[in-house]
Amino acid sequence: MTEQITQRELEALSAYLDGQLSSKERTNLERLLEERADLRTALDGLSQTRAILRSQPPLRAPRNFILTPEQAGIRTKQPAVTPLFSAMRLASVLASVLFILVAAGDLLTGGRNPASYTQAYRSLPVEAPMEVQEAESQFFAETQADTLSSEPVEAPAAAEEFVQKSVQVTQAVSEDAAILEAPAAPSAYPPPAEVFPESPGLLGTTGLDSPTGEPTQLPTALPTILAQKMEGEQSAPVVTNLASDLRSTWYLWRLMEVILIFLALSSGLFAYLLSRSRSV
Amino acid sequence: MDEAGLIRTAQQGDLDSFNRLVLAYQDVVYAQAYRMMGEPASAQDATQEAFISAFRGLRSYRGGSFKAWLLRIVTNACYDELRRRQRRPTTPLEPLDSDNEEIESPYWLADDSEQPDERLERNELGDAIQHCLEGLPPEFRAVVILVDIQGMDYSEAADVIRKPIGTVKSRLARARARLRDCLQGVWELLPAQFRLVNEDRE
Repeated sequence: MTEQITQRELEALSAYLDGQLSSKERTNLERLLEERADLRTALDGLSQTRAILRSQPPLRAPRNFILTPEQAGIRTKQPAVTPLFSAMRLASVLASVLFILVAAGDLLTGGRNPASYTQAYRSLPVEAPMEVQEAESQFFAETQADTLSSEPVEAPAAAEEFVQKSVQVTQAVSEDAAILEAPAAPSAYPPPAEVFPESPGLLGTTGLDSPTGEPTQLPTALPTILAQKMEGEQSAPVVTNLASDLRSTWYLWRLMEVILIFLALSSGLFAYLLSRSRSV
Repeated sequence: MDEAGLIRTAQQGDLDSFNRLVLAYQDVVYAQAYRMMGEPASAQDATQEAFISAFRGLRSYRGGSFKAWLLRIVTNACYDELRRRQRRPTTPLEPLDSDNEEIESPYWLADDSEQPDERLERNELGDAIQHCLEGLPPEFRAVVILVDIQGMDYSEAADVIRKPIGTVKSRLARARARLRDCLQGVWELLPAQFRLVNEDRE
């Protein structure tokens, strides 16, 4: 009589074919197989089915299944170009180019700072008239003493000293003070020997006669000094106004550079954000 | 680059590395899909969908058998499609007879005028096998395909279907029994090697 094969026995037979039974389970099953023909028949059937299935040749894919970027959901590198994006990008480029031009021009001109103009201003002979005035006072005092005395005084020495002081002052003017060009010292202050060949005094007015009785030629040094003093005093306000204008222009260029940098950065950042938001 | 390296770079978004993995496993994945779905068009769709899902979900791969991971994805894709078709049935997968009992031999799937032996005369053995496979419930079908056609052991098959080994044993035994009954009609037409008792018992 054939016993009905249970599900558990069926599983044991199937696992027995695949070597998935423990040693104890395998021993028990082999004992049952010897005793029961239905189990042996069932085992044969399962074995043949398994063999048929495993005899099938492996299937080949009919085509390649590699993924495209679209299938993979990969975002494209090129963002969608919109008019706004193009405009922002162009604005960024223009602002950058303008900034480079302004900065280059600034570098080529030396990047003048208002302080440098102030320095040049202070180097001008504006202060020279002050020293000239002091030297002049000293000189007048000395020459007055000379005219009052009967004996000749050492006017040429005092005059020469005065001239030397003036020369030193004028030589202190830098080249940048070309705006107020200092006169050449030697020509403005002729040596006393030329002016006063024989006269002991400087105040050679018409009321004073030289020992020789001939009218003393008025010296040209003092009027020249006085004229320069007046010029310096008139030039002081001109220099101040010019430095102020230069300072304004310098700040204007700096402001323009800052604006261009801000424009370039902001428009570039906006274009970048646009491209990110619209990239697929 | 070895498989682990390809997987690593693919996880970082390198599509070329992933496509190299596709080329290495597309035969296995397609075979699983074809055996599950029973016809080429649906099998190709399921295969493509499986690879797309695999790439997008590659970060969820935590090691282990990459083959098993891919087969799990394609098997689940096939389950979903078969269930969708089941909601719009054209032919019941588990037909009932007049007594509302399950018919063990799925001859109802074949044409009424054609039996498996007649079919074998016209078609190759593979068609008959495929016909009998399509008669199995999807869960049984997947296990017997994984073990007896894909050559996996019980633990790998358990990894694919995410079930215990005992479940694999049970489903495999029942699937083999049903296939045996389905192939009964073509037994005499099988090559002689299959008529003999299989000698690779372990």
